[in-house]
Amino acid sequence: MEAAEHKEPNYWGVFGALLILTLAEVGVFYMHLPRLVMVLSLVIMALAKAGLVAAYFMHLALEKRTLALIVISPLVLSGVIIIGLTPDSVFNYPRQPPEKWVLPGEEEPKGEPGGEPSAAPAQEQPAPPPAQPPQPAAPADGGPA
Amino acid sequence: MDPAQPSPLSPNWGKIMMWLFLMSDAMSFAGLLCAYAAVRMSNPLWPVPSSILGVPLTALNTFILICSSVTMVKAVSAIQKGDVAGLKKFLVFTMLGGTAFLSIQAYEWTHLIREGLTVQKSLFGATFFVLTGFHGCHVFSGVVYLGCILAATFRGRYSAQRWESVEIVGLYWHFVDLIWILVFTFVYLI
Repeated sequence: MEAAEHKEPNYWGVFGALLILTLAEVGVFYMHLPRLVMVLSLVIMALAKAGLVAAYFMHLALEKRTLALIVISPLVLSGVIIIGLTPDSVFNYPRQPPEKWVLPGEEEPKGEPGGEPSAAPAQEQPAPPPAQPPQPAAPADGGPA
Repeated sequence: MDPAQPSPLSPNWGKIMMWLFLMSDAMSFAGLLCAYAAVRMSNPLWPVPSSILGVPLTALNTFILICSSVTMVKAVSAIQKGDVAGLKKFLVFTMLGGTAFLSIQAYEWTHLIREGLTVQKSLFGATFFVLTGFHGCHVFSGVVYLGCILAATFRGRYSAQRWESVEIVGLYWHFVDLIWILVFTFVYLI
């Protein structure tokens, strides 16, 4: 290894960027933004952090271009996994349909008059599917990912 | 191969081998993360993760792991300058960071299991424990791997001319940090 080959990047600068991005992520998390905005910004920030670590801590940006190509090319396959799994998750939704769908205009049959008519139909299920967590988590907030 | 062509593996074949291992490892994490996404998106009753998991403690853990990555790059740059004492010091700091991470994770797991979240209870528990557990195994292996490099340092193995293995353990360690950044975002925050 020639000395010229490993000029040190500004590690403290990278550390600061990672720290700021982490704080921004936690901040976005607590801001209660619309779900799509929150998910998109969190994913972008996480990928930016991962890229910073790979490029500077792992020296990918400072190595020969060939190494970066060797490293990045297999990651295309993880895109294939996503494409392969998307039909399963998107078109199967919801996997267990509720016993009776309640349309928005309809009165709820046999429901309490004070009940929320706008509640998600999945909540009316008497027996929750096995995927429900043991904690009394509010399923109304736990919308789809 | 044409002997006149320089081999793509020279002079750093060890580094390229580590990169290839890390990429195959990345594929197993990609598989786990994609399976998690598929299970979660097809399940309308998936809970909000933060209603069960503690975000502040995990954010602290993320911070600890990022700090240990910084001490790792400091270890590599110390030995590149021939500073063996600095290498020892920063390797120990990095191992302490990894151990602190594992301890906090062990505390978190104990707490969650006592509250009734287990692998077999729900899909949420299964994906949570498999993803964080697989990553935790990597952190544990990383601490052991760093310990081996530290032992070799005490035997006088590394110098300003010879530090490839330290850089390679660094690659592994940063990769574990990189994966945690993704796991923290996808499992805890989103």
